[in-house]
Amino acid sequence: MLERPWDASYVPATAYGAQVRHKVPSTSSHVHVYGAQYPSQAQPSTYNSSSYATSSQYNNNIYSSSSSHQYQAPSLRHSKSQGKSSSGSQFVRRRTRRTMKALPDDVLAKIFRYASHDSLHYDRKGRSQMIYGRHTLLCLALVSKRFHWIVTPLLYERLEIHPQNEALVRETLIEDPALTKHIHHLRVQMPKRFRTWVMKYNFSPISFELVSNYGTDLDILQHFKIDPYSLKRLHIGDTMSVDSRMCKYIANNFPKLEDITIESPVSFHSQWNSDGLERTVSFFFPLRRLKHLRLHVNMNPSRTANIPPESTWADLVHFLPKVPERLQTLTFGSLGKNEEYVSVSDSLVRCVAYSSNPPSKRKGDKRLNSDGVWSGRGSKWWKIEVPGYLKDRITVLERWGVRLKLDELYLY
Amino acid sequence: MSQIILLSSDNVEMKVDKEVAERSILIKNMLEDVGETPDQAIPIPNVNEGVLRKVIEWCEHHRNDPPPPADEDSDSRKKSTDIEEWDQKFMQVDQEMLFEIILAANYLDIKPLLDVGCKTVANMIKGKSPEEIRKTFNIQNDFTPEEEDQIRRENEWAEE
Repeated sequence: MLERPWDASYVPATAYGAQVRHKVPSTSSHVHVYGAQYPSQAQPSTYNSSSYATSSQYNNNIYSSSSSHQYQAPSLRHSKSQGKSSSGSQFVRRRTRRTMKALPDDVLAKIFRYASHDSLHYDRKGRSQMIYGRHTLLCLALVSKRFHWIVTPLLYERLEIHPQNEALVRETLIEDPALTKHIHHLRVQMPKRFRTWVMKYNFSPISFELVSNYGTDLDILQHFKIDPYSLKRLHIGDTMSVDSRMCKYIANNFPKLEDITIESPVSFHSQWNSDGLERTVSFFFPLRRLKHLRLHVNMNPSRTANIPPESTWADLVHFLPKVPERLQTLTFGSLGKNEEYVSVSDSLVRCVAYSSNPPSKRKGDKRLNSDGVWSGRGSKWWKIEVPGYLKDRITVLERWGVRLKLDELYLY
Repeated sequence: MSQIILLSSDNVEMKVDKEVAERSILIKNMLEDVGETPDQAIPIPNVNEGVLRKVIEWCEHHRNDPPPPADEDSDSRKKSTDIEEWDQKFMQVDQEMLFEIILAANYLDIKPLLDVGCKTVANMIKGKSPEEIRKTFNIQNDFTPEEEDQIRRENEWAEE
């Protein structure tokens, strides 16, 4: 059976990646423009008249089409069929010559992802030059409409908004707000003068990092429109207040969180006493997927209300609620502002033991045992980073570490 | 060592060790479904003789490699410069064959080979301007100047 332009099953040779030199009868409708229903070129069976779009449609559809576009398994069917014109002469003889056009979109996306890594490039004279992945992606976006369509999600996968690029990002998002759906990793560095434009957009990132030089608080966090079911990692820097309100808000609004880091330079002696610590941290524990919780606050436990004056960071463990089994990392840190802890953390060894100061001799407290293992709350054993002077006891300590449920607990 | 016969799209039969052929997840699953080593040739309708020979050559060389990690996002597999020397030489073929190998690896579900192919193409892209990329891969520029300007404008933030 002949395949001709007027036959329902006719597929232009260019759709198979054939070279232009092959003579293909064209009609006005065969001007190929990448549009809303752009088919994978290795999928000739999906290529029909509805696949064509005009140039003006391109601008409207270029992003909105991504949701409807489906990757399909590649077909490697060779197009060796021949046809004859009505005059009897052979009008097309398609020999499939594989070019980049033949690759399906998912394979091209894989290639572009590899190309998006920064790397050193050596020219013919052996001179090295740094090639930035983002620049490579930009170049790819300008190659063709198909490439642009594939590259756009990669370009916007990681977006950092900071005072230097704020205006440009704002202009881009005003022009096409749908770009926010491609952002998987969002980092917002709030400028000194607080601007609210970014809070008008809906984001659905996997990870969200909010930092500022002057302090972030719950009010700022609340104003962001973050999809509660997409967010897995949350990092808040320069927090003005890590209190039960903030912890409760985070725990209640982002149920899929796996990783939480909150840093605060502010002292919390009043909030993080023995009761407050339990009240604050316990909000996070019902999160079913939470594996890593890092709270870096400026707090010296020895000066905290309701905690004995000679207490160390390790003593705080006594005040924690029952830690869930799934938690792999629980970190408390003092942001390095307390020299005592910095000097300790500089020579830390990861294993099971007591932290910072030599063991206390207080009566009634089970501390560092003779074999170097520190007992935490109840019968649970903790994995803690220890100072260098306990290094020679690591073998003993690691033996005990097997019994741990919690993988790591860092007390700086 | 049991052997199986693969039949290329141009009807050429090739005898291959089962272990080698099972580098292809497609063939492995197929053999598992059948249950025993088939006597008849397994048709690989989308891959011609030349490409199939190359793919088998790669599988032979990597027959003892550990299976690829299940984690798709594993960083070690994403570094495009990270191509073994033998693989680099293996991939020194013309563009048509390179894309044929990539398509065959994709069809046969041989992820490590697909990765090597993709990394090779990615390295060919790096450091090139849009025009150079078009020229290298024979791609037609279907943008109007206005559309090109628009793309440059909307990605200006990323140029920093």
